[in-house]
Amino acid sequence: MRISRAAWVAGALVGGAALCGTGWDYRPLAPDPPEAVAPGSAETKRLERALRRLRPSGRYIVIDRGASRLWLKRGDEVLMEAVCSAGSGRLLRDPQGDRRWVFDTPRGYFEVRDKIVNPVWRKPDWAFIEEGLPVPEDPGERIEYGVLGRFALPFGDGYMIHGTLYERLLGSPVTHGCIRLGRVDLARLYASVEIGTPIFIF
Amino acid sequence: MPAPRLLLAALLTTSLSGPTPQERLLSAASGDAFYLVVDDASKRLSLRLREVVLLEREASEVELATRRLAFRRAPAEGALLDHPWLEGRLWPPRPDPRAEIVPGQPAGGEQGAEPQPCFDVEFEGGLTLEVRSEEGCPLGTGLALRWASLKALWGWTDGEARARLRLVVPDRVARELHAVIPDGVRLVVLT
Repeated sequence: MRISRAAWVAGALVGGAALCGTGWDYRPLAPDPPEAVAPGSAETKRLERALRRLRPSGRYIVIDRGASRLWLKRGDEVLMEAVCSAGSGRLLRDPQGDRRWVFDTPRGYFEVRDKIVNPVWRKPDWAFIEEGLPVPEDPGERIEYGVLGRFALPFGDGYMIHGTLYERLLGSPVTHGCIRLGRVDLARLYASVEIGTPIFIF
Repeated sequence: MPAPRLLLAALLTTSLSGPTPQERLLSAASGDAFYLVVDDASKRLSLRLREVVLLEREASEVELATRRLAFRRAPAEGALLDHPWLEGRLWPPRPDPRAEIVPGQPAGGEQGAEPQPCFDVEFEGGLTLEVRSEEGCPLGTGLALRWASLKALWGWTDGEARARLRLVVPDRVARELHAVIPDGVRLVVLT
């Protein structure tokens, strides 16, 4: 059977038109029907109370890793804003073995687990490997005083908010996962939070 | 289980069957997952965790797209936005360069990939959140995203593709969002 030229043309036109009329159809969102919103109903109030209960009732810390900023807040009120440093995201391999470390600050919800004055750093293996030094056998050789600043606020898994000797690097992601703060901001934060204060890191 | 958690669980049981904005929020806010809230009335997008707003930015446009095949619109799906969308994944994925430290050499310095001004967040079940810069997309990324959108239109994707929610935001905001939106994020849309 031969298909005439006219049929080909007609088919192409119909197919082309169909293709032109095919796509994602963008339009503004339709509002919820009024009955779905039900403002002021007992059920709505109950849900709003449940939502409020999820929020911290007192002070809490918010840390933006990308912007290197830390805020102390209560409700929507900002009590304090500081420049900080978060994890560098860098990778370190142990040249002598299979171990590897990624220096990220974790995201998520945490709480202040402790409040430490004059914290002492027990240097982990990676700190020696990073410096190109042998990992010492003697635990006493791991102790370093003063490098974490005057205060530390641990929030789990070895991560802390602490001070730094290198305040000029604040504002850049250069740490091994902890949050560094300047001396003045650290003292103010330490005085303003309690054990259990929520920390939100994103 | 502590009492507030029990109450929350009980509320969630009822909330999953209902479409009110509070129920959507409560359902997304449960647990320790980050979630995005798109509020169409105020044209704002926020990143939240446990109902704490971590980041909030304005969009200039918010639009929802459904399929149109040969001039025939897909029937409006009433249930499309009445529940949280889960497990959002960035596309193209955020580059993970992981600069390596050379032992014995000073570390320091900033690393990180250049954030994208145009990207998608693909949610399980078929909703894609398109974040687009007001200034347009770089040619390569724009073409890749357009191709992904076409593939979704024709169903050439692994998962389901039901709808696309487009947010147009200032270039700076788009890049900021690309840097902060975590994988596994949830989405709630308030209309």
